[in-house]
Amino acid sequence: MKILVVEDEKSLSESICSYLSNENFICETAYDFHTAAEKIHLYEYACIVLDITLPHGNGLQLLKSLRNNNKNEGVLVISARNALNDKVLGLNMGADDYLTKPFHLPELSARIAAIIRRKSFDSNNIISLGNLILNIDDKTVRGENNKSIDLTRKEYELLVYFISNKNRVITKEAIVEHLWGDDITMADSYDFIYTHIKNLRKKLVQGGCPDYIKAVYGMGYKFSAHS
Amino acid sequence: MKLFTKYNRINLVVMVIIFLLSSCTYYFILNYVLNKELNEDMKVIQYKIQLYAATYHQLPTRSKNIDDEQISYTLTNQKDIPQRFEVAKEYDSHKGKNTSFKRLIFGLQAGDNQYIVSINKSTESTDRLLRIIAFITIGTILMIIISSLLINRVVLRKLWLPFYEAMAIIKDFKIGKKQALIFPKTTTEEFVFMNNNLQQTTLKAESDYLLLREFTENASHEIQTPLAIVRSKLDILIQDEQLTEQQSKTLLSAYAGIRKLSQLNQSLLLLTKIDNEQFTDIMPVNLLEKIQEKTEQFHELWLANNIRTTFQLENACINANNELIDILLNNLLSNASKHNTPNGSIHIQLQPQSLVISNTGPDHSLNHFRLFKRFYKEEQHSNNNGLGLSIVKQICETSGITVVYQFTEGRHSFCFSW
Repeated sequence: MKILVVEDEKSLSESICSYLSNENFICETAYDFHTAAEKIHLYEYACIVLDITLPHGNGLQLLKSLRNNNKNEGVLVISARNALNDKVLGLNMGADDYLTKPFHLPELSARIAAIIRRKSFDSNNIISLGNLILNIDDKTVRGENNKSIDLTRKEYELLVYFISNKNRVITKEAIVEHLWGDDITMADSYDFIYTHIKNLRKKLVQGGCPDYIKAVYGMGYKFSAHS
Repeated sequence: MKLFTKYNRINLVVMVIIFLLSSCTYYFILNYVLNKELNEDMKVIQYKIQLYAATYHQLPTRSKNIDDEQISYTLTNQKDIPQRFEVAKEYDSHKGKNTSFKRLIFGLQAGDNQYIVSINKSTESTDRLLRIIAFITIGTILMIIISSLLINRVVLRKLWLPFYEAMAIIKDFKIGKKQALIFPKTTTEEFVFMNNNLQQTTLKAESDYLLLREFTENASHEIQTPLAIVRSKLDILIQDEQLTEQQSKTLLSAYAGIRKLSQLNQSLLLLTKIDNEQFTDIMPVNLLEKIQEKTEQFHELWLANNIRTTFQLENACINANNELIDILLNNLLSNASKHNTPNGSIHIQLQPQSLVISNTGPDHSLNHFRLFKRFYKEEQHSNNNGLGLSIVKQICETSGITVVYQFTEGRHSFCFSW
C-alpha cells in the first residue's frame, strides 16, 4: 500500500516515512503544493498525510480538489494549529482525521491504519495476526480455536494500537496519550498503565497467543510479531 | 474633595478676607472722616460762642440751642481750663436708652465770670451709618457664598459633564476588545486635549496589545513544527535495539521535555485564544453528563494512586462553550489528582447553580492573591507549567462563572457558581 506524505519540513517527512515503511507500506513524499498536486493527480494512494501550511499553497486546497475529482483516498490532516475551527473545517472538507503537531509517530501510524481499514471496501473489518482475530465492527477478539478473548474497552484499544505499531517500540507516554487523550495532564509517572498491559498480556496468553508484548527497559513496550 | 470645591474654598476665603479688610478700612476711614467733621462742627460752635462772649461779655442765649447739640455752661473758679474732647454716654429719656455723645469742653471768660462750656453732640447717626455698612458687607459676603454654591451646583455640573462622561468611557475600556473609544464632543479646550490624549493612548495600548498577542500566537505555532521534528526523531531513535539502559533514560528525559514544552505552548495558545474571544459558540452544556464522562476518564488514574472519590451530583446545566467547559474540568480534575496526598480523596458536588471540587493536599492554604496568576507555582514542581489555574480563571471570566478558592480542614476547594 502506498502512502503519500505531504509535508514541507523534510526532516519530519523523513521521520514519518522511516517509521511507516515496513512490509505493508511504501511511502512517497511531496515537499510543496505543486509536487503534491501532481502526485495526487497521477497516482492512487491508500492514504495521504497532509500538512496544511505548504509552500505555494494550502493543504486544504489540495483536499478540496481531491474530493472535487471524486478521489476517495483517505486523508489525514496534520497541522501546527490546534484550533477547533481548523479541525472542523478540515473534516468538513472531507479529511478523515486530524492530528496536531507535535504528535507521536505511533499515533500517526495508528490513525493511518484506522483510516485505511475504514476506507477499504472489501470488508476489511477483520485484523488477523497469527491465530489472533480482531473484529473491528463489533470489537471482539478471538484467539486459538476461535475462542473468544474477553477484553475491557481500554485493553481492546490498547491491542489495536499495538497491532497498528507492531515491531515498534512505543513509549508509555504515547500509550497514555492514545488511550486517555493529552488533555488530561497526569503525574510524571505513567506506571498506572502497567495494570492494563499486564492484564492484556495475561488474557492473550490465556487465549492461546504467544506473549507478543515485551517491555523495553523503563521506556515502553513493543508488540513483536513476525509474520 | 472636588476640584471646584477646593478652588471655591480658597476663592471664598480670599474673598471674605478682602471684603473684611476693605470694610474695616472703609469703616475706619469713614469713622475718622465723620469724627473729624463732628469735631469741626463743634469747633465752629465753640468759635461762635467765644466770639459772642468776647463781643457781648455774656453767655449766648439758650435759644441758640439746636436739636442736635446741647450746650451747657457751668460756673467755675478755675482758670485755664484745657480744651478737650471726650466721649460720653448718657441716658436719653426720650428714646429710653443710652446714647453716645461727643463732648467738647473748654473754658470761657464771659464778662467777669469763668465758665466751663461743654458742647454735646449725639453720635447716633454716625453709629447708624457704620452699622449699615457692616450689614451690607456681611450681606454681600453671604450673597457671594450662596451664589457661588449655586453656580457650583447648576452651572459647573454642566461644565464638567464631558469630564465625567470621558471617565465613564475609560472605566468601561478593556484592552483587547478592539473597540474604538468615542468621547462626547466638547468645546472646552482642556477636555478636548484630555479626550485626544486618552484616545491616542488607548489606541496605542490596543495596537501594542494586539501585536503582542499575535506574536504569542505565531511564536507558539512556529514552535510546534520543530517540536514535532524532535519528537519524531526520538520515536525513530528508540526503535534501535542496541540502546543501553542509560541511553534509554536520556531519551525519556528528552521526551518529557518535549511534552512539557508542547503543553506549555498549547496552554499559552489557549489563553491567547480565550483573550481573542475565539470561543464564541455558546450553548447549554449538560454538566452532569460532562462530569460523569470526566470521572470515567480519570477513574484509572485515581485507582492507581489510591485516591478515594465521592460524588454528590444533581442535574445542572450551564450556558457556555462546550470546549472551554471540557478544558476547565480537565484542568480542575488534573490538579485535584496531581496535588493530592497519598491515599487522599476528591469530592465533587454538583448543584443546579454551583459546582464544588475539593481535595486533600498540601497542609496549608494556597496564596489567594497569586493563585490564578500566570506561572504561579506553589513549589517548583517539575511537572506543572503554572498555567492551569489561570486558564480556569480566564474561562470563568468569559463564561460568567464566579470562582472562589477555600482551604478548610485540610481540604482545598474550588467553588464555582453561575
